[in-house]
Amino acid sequence: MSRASDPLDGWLPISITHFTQEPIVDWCRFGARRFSEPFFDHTVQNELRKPFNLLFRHKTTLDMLVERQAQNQGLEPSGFIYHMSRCGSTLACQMLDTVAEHTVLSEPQPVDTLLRLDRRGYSDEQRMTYLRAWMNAISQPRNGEKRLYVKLDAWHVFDLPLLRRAFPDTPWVFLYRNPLEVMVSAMRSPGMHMIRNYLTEDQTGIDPASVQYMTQTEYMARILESLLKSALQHLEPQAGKALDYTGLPESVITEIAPHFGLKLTAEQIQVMREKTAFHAKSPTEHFQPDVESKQKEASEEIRRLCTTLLDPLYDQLRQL
Amino acid sequence: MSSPPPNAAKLPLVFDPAGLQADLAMLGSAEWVAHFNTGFFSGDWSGAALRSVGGKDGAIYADTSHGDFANTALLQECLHLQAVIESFQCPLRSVRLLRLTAGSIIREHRDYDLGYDAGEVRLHVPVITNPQVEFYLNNRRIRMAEGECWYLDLNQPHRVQNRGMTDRVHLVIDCQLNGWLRDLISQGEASAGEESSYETFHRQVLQEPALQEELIGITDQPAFIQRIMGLAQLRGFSFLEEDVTAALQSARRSWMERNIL
Repeated sequence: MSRASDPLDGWLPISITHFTQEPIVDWCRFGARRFSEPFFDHTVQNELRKPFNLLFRHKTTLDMLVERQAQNQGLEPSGFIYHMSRCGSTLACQMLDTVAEHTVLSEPQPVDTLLRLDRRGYSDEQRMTYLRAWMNAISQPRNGEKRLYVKLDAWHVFDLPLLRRAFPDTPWVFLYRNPLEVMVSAMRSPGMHMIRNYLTEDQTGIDPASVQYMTQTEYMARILESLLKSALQHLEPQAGKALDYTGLPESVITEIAPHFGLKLTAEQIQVMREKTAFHAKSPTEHFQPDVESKQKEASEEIRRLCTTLLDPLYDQLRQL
Repeated sequence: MSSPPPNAAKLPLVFDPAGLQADLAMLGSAEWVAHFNTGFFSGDWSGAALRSVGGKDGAIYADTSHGDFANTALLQECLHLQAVIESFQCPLRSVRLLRLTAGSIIREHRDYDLGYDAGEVRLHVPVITNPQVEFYLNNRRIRMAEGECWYLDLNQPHRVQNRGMTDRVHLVIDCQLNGWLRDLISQGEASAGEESSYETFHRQVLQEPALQEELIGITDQPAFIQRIMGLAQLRGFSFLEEDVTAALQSARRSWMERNIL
């Protein structure tokens, strides 16, 4: 097939679904739109407001991603961001996104879908193949982009070894924050992984039988505990780096950028700093430091769980 | 366990259309009651009750509450229709004639009150129809001829356009599933339907970047539909705005439901 008649030229695999036995890749004619919204899915949602994109989409098998890899050169990821949630990871992404040459994908749903194909009997090799092929297809440069950064879902720290094997040259960071502040934030509005049994025992190590006896607060603390333990277990001197919220936003410039092999110009640094004045998830609101309010809001139970379960892990990370 | 039935199947029952049409001709205009679901159609969609809760005349709502169904006075006068209904060896619930007049359309919808699994199915017997009637089930066109009897899974999205010059009247029979009916449905001739004119156009757009260029920049939905209609006309397609609206609706629905396993 000649390139001129390639029906998927300029189309991006925005979603992977499995209504049917075989997963289906859903392609959208994305044009030049950047993934600049705080989350990948928000950008996709906005693009689907165009009636054309709602109505006309290609549907293919996963193998089409692999087939296209040879002729359609996308970007190799330049950095992965793992995190414990509610710890400034969105802000870090928004800062990286200020550089025109960057594509930043924040918690893209297809990565999670592909990782979870293990539950459908897909081997590690198959998952790695499809993950690489999807990354390649989604990062087709549309505005001269040269570097790709991906922020993963909080629970993907459990999948870190597989992602390391799939992308051995990609450096990564793990972002964390004082657990008490994360707990307060999660209590206000819990993420997906805080829904009971959304994550499974093979990921968290939490016995499902014990879950029913836990308060919601304790369950959240147990989830955070498993995330922190997993990060500690996987940290490597070369490729992986753990960074505390207290260093943000400046550490994006001083730590993350060099770790990801990124050389920022003075002008780029200036624009990044300006970005940090705004709240990452509501870009029209000014960023408000909330350490104090979160510390005050913590219940007795949260404090106790932090002291017993989470603070020791937090301290270990900080001493690295 | 038996396999689930297809979306559409022509049952091995045939009735004489001439007799049914003779009954139909006796019905006066007073017998027809406008369909209650006014948001679902444009034009004239109306019904005549042949069997309803308490045998009440003019009760065309397919009542799903547990009332006792009885034949209406109207059915007593329609001997051919009566014979059809009596040939069903399963408990019957509502039985109606539903009329979609020339030029009228029923927008895409689902009938949630039915279901093979729930033990209640709806059968259609076209009494009078014409080649320009387009009935779509799950975006596939099903052609049903006068006197045939069809099982249809109307939980699935469906829509009808009567683009002909004459009315379309179907005898619509709600049945409680029993062994006899289950056998009848399993002996039916499954129909996968035909690709609609809109679907053919849709495939062309996906293959032709030039067509895509004409449409991609339009953000306003009515303007977008108008542009599609213009392009379709140039290329000799015959579908209606309603087909595009239904396709947009179905695309929106499947996107919303994409994470439901």
